Amino acid sequence: MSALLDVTGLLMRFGGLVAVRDFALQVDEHELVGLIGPNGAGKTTVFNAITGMYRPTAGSIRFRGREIAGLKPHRVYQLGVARTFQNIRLFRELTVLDNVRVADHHRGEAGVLHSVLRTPKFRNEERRLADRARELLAVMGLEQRESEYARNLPYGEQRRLEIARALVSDPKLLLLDEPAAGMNPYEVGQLMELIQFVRERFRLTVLLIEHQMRVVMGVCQRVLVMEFGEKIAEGRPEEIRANPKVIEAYLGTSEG
Amino acid sequence: MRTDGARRRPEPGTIAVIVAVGGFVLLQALMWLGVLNPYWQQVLNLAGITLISALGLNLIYGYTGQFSLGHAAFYGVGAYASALLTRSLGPGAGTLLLGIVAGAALAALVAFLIGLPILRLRSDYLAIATLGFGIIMKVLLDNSDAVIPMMGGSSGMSGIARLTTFPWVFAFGLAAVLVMRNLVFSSVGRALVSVREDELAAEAVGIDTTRYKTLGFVIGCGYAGVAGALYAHLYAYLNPFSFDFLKSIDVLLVVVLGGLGSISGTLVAAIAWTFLLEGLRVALPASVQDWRMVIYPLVMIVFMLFRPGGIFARTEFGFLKPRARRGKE
Amino acid sequence: MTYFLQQLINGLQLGFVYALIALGYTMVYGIVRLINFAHGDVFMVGAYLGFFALASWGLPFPLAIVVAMVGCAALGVFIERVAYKPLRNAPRISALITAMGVSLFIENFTNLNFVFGPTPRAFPRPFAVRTFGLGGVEITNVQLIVFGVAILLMVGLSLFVGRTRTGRAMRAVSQDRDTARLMGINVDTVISITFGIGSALAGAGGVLYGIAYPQIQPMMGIMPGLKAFVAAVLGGIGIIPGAMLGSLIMGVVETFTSAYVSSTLRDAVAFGILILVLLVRPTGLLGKSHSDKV
Repeated sequence: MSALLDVTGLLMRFGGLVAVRDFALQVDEHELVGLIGPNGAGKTTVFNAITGMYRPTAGSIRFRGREIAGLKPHRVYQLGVARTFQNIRLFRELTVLDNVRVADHHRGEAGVLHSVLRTPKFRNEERRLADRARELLAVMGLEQRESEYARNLPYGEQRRLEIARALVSDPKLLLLDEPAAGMNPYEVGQLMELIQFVRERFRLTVLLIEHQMRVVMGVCQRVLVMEFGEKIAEGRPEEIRANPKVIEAYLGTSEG
Repeated sequence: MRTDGARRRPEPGTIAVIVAVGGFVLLQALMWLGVLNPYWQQVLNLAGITLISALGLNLIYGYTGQFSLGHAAFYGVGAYASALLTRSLGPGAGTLLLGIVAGAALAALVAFLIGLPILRLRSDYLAIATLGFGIIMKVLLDNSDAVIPMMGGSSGMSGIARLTTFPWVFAFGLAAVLVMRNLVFSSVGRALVSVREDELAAEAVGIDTTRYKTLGFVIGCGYAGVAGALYAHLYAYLNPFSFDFLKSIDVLLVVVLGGLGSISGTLVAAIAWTFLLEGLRVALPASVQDWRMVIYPLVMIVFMLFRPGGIFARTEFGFLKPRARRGKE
Repeated sequence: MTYFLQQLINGLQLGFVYALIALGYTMVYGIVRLINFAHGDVFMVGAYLGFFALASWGLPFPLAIVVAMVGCAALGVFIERVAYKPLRNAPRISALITAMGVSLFIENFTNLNFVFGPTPRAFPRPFAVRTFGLGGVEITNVQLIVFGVAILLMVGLSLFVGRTRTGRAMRAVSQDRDTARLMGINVDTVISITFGIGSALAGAGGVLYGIAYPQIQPMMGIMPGLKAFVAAVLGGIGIIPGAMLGSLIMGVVETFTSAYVSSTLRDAVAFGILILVLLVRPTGLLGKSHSDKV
C-alpha cells in the first residue's frame, strides 16, 4: 500500500539559502506524525511546500498518488490537504460562522448569477453550507459564538476556530503548525484530547509541528526530527527520546 | 427539515423595494409639482450616478480589499462607449439601454484584461499601478480623435442625446444596490471578503484568490461603466478632464466617508456628499466658492484620522441585510 | 546626432529636477512605507518660496535656495507630525488616503486668492541666460546650475546617509523600526529628520524647476511629483542611488518621447514604464528581490 503523503528529495532554496535539503517523509492513512526540531530547522518550510505556499526547488510531493508539488495552495486544499498556521490566521472581520463557511465555498456550485437572483439552488446551498459549518462549530464547542467576529474570540477559541475551519470540507490530511503555542498547560491537555478526537471522528491523517514535547510524545505515533533543513532522525516517540543525535541537536539545547 | 423562524417574516429585500418605490413616487410627484426644480433634479441624478460608481469601488476596495485609484478610467470607458453607441444608432430608450449594457460590458472587459496582470500587486503597489492606468487612459482619451474623430479628443465629445432621466437613474441605482446586497451576502461574497481579510489564509482554505480578486474588480468596474453611461447621457457632453485622477479620488472619498464594506454607508454618503457639494455651490457666495475644494480634502483627512471606518463602519441598515436579525445581538 | 545630444541634455535637466523630488519619496517610503502624495506639493511650495525670496525680498539666488529648503523642511516635518504620525500603525492604505487628502488640501488651499492664487506667475531669472556651444550642441548656464546644484545636494545626501550617526540611524530604522528602537534610536526623531531632508531637497528642486521652466502655479507639483515617484519605483523604491538613476532615465525618456514621438503621449509613456516595471521587476532596477514570509 502506498503512503497517503509521500515526499521525496525535497529541496527548498531561497536565493543562496538552503532551507530544506533532501527531505523525505511518508505518512500513511490515519497516522499521526510529529515533526520537531529547533527554531529555523525548516519545519514550517516543509508545510509551506506541501500546501503549495512555496514551490519546491526540487523534489516530489505526492498526495494520494498524485503529484502536488507546485500546485497553487487552493488546489492543494481542494484535493484534501488542510492546514492551520503557527500565528493563527483567521478572517478577523468575519463572523465565526462565516470563517468556517467560507472554507467550504469551493464545493459550492451557485456562482454570481445564482447569488444575485437568489435562486432555489442558491438557497439550498446556503443552507447546506450553514448546516455543515454549524456541525463543525458544535464539535469544537463554538456553537454559542457563531455570530461573533473572529477577532473578538479569546486565544484558545481562535485556535479551535482555525481547526474547525480546516476541517469543514472533509480533508484527508490535516497539517497543524504549532497548535499548542501560547497555551497554558490546561489548554494544552484539552488540545491533545481534541486532536485525538477529531482524528477518530473525521478519519483524519495528521501531521503536526510542535515544540512542546508533552504534546509530541503524548499523541504522535511517529516522530521526525529536523535540524538545519535536514531530517536527522525518525522513529517512535520513545526511540526519539533515546536517540543521542536528537538529544544533542534538540533536547539538549532546549527545554525537555 | 428545520424551519427557520425568520423565514416566515417578509424578506427584508421586499421591504426595501416597497420603501424604494414609495420614495420614487414621492420624488416624481415633487418634480411634477415643481417643488424640485430642474437644477436639483440634475443633482439628484448625479447623486444616483455617484452611488452606482461608488458601490462598484466599494466592492473592489471595501469588500475585496484591492485598492484602486483608477476607478474614473472605467467610468470614462463606460461613458464614451455608450455615447458612441447611441450616437451611431440614434437616440431612443432602446439604444440607451443598449448603450448602458455595452458601457458596462466594455468597462468590465477592460478591467479583466488590465486586472489579470495588475491584481497580482499588493496594497500601495496596486494603488500606484491603477493610478498609472488611469493617467494612461486619460492620455488615450485626449488623443482619441486621431482614431475616432467623433470622440473629439481633448476638446471633448458633444452631440450626445440627453436621454438619462430620473426614472433611469433610479431604476439602475436600485438594481445596483440590490445586486450588490445579494452578492455580498452570499458564499461568493464571503469568498471576496476572505481575500480582503487575509489573502494567504484564503488560499489555504481553497479560495482561488486570483479569480476572486479579478471577479470583484470586473464587477466593480462594470458598475463604473453603468454609471459612466448614465452620466454621458445626462450632460450630453464628455471631456477626458472629467475622468482624471481627481475623479477617482472623488469616488474614493464617498466610499471612505460612508464606510468600507458597507452598502448603507455608500448609499448615504453618495447622496449626502453630492447634495452637500452642490448645496454649497448654491448657498455660498461666489467669493468663497473656492473654499469648497479646501474643505473637501480636510474632510477626507479628518475622517481617516478620527473615524477610519467611515460613518457606517461595516454595518448595514436592517433592510439591506438578507435575513431578519436574530433574537440575540 | 547633435539633435539627439541636445535632447539628451534637456532630458538630463528634467531628470535632475525629478531626482531631487524622487529622493524624498524614496527616503520616506524606505522608512515609513508611505507613498507621500503631498511630496509633489511640497516641491511646489519650494518653487513659490524661491519666487518670493527672489522677487519680493530681493535675496541672491543661493539664499533663495536655502530659504526654499528650510521652509519646505519645516512644512514636511509639520505634515508628518499632524497627518501621518497618528496613522503609523493603521493600515497602509489609510495613510495613503490621508496623504492624498493632504496633497489636495495644499493644492487647493494655495490656489486661494489670498495665498498664492490660481494665476501662473513668471519665475524671475536672477541672472542673464547664457548659452555655450559645444560642437553644435548648446548648453545654457541655467542647465549647468541645475546640474551643479542637484549633483552637489545628492553628494551631500549620500555623505550624510553614509557617514553620519544620524544617517546610520536612518538606515537602521528603514531596516527594522522596532529593533532600531530597542537599540536606543529615537525613531520619531529619525522619521522627522527624514521628512525634513526629503522636503528640503524637493524645495531646492522647486527653485531649480522655477529657473529652468520659468512659470509656476499651485498645481505644478502634481505631475512632476507623480513622475518622480515613478522614477523612484523604477530605480528601486527605498534605494537612494536607485532614485537618482530612475529619475535621469525618466527625464531622458520623457524628453525623447516628446522630441521623437509626440508630446501628448509623454505621460502615457511615463506611466506605461511604471506598470511595466511593477509587473516585470517590482523591486526596481537596483532592488533585490525577496519573498513574503509566511
